[in-house]
Amino acid sequence: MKNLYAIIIVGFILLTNSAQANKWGRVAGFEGLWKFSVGDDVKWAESDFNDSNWDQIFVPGNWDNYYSGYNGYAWYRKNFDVKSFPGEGSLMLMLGQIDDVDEVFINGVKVGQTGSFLPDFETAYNIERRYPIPDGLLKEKDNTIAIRVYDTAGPGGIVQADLLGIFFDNDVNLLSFDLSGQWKFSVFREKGINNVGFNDNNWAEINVPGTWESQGYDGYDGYAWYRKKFILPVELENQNLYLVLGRVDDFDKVYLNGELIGRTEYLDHYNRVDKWRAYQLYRVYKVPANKFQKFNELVVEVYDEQLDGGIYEGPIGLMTYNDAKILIERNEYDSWGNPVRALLRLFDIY
Amino acid sequence: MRTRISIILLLLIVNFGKSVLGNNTAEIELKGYWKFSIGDKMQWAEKNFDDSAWDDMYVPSRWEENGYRGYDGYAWYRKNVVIPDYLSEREVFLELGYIDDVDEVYFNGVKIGQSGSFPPNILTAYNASRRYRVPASVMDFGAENTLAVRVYDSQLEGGIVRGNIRLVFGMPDVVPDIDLNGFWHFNTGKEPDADASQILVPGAWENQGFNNYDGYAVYSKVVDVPASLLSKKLILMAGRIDDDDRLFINGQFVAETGEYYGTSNTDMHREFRNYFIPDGILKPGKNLIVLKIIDRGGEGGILEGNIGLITQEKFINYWQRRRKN
Repeated sequence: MKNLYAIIIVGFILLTNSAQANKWGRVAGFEGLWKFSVGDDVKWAESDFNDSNWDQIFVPGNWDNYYSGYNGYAWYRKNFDVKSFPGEGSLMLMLGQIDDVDEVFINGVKVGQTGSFLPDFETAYNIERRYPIPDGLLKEKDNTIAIRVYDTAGPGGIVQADLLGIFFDNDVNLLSFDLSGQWKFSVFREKGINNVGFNDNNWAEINVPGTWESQGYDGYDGYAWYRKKFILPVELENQNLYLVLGRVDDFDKVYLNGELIGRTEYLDHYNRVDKWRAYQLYRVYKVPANKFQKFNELVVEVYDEQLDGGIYEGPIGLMTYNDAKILIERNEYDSWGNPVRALLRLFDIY
Repeated sequence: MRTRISIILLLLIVNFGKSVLGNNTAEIELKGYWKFSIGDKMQWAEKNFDDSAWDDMYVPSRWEENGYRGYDGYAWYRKNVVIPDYLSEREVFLELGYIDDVDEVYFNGVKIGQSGSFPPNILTAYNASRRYRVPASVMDFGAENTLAVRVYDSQLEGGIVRGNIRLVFGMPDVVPDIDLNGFWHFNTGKEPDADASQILVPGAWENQGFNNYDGYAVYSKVVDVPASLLSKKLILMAGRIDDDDRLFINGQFVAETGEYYGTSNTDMHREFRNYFIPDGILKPGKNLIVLKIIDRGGEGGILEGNIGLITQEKFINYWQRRRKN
């Protein structure tokens, strides 16, 4: 049965991506020829490494198309320019599925890893690679991306991708207040974790949106907590607003200033298919004006059943009714023709 | 082995063979009269044994047709061959066609291969074409070399009966910096034994005295690594292993393929292993390489490939030459 679920999930990912063509504005496209070499050397991550005598292969595709039967380490490198910077935040590197493990560097800086290299090898061949790009890392010209891949057996490399490149989330334009970026993160349940004033100083930081698998929590399934403190802008005071948390894999409970304001979880009236669709749904939680303070603390408890986990896709932030309406009512359908967003109302508690 | 897989592998080998048997291939024909004696004495394997009193036997042929009608049992073949100097640095295979039923082959007194299993647990290999890799270390270039083939026939026709009989000198696709083809220590079980026996790598253990054995086994070898190589990135080309394996060097876990601790079948017996050795694992002088293997059915062991330690530079170059499309 587990395999069946996996197939259904992969199917969803593929179909959801095709429906998302308008959501993602392309900043740099990576389909085409890349520099490629078997072997492994940390120096190959550096932007000024001279790869002029490397081979070239087409990406995406199984590297066995060129290097038949090859198992082991290999690196991909590519130089690229960025046409336009749509703004800070919410730039997402998308690399599709990489078989088995990858580690990605942009301009010499590590931006993500999925799976685990030897000696504690763990494959991630069926996980979609999406890495948030830190602000300030990209230049207009002469950027370098370097990808270290380890393949233990069978097909290898950047094998399959619907979206391959760096993308900007157009939905970010709907936000009145952007909450993406660094959040506090922990996988340990603690007393008073949802309360105002809870001390999260020692917690790790994580980029939101982005799966936790891609940010050092490889293979983790189960509960995790995100915390964010923010000051409500004056122009948004005394308004009913919508807290948008993009998509979360799989379930979440959201607390604002210690009070539960929304949740998406495994409810009794879901059928099994609905349960497994939760990770597709946009979280748009209505927040009455009186629930906000000047200083606010937001806590999101996430439960992930398997594979990817976390607040993995934006937009993340506050929207007015009119903008949230655009997000909710935009047509988007899954593989069976069901509108993805119509289920939202099931979870709204106000 | 599953038939479909065998066919795929056969295709791979044929393709691979093409590149090896290109224009640069040399051969020494070995068809013709060999020295021959029935009986079985292990000193007949020796390079210096005087076989001048032995019969002459045409190879390939059935010994029944050459004066040994109705003979079943042990017999030995011997032949001297001069290998010219210019053929050093090649990848050498001894082809002996089809042998009925069981054989083991000595090159200058050193065993280089076996097919089937001798009494008391007889396993015929009459339908297997013999092709044995000859390690460079056993050959004398520019001098006379001695081949000795011990054969056991259990019934009906016997001997080196048909097929190509020759030494093939190919330009190797790749020459490892440290050649690890040849003998390794071998024992069944999960840990290395002090009194491990010797086994030829590559080659299924079924052909080397462990007929029908499925389960855990350990290959080990002490390897001298010169200081000049220690400063370089090295890769252990460990060949195609059936089924799953874990690599340890000097007692430290380095790499694995498949699920050594698992119980279900993987497809890893199709896969060639390239194990990158992290800095600081290999020491100057003697190093112990241990491959722990589990076989869950059919053939088992390090089945195929050019086994050795290679520098990353040479490894990249080798794969660039193999690139297609």
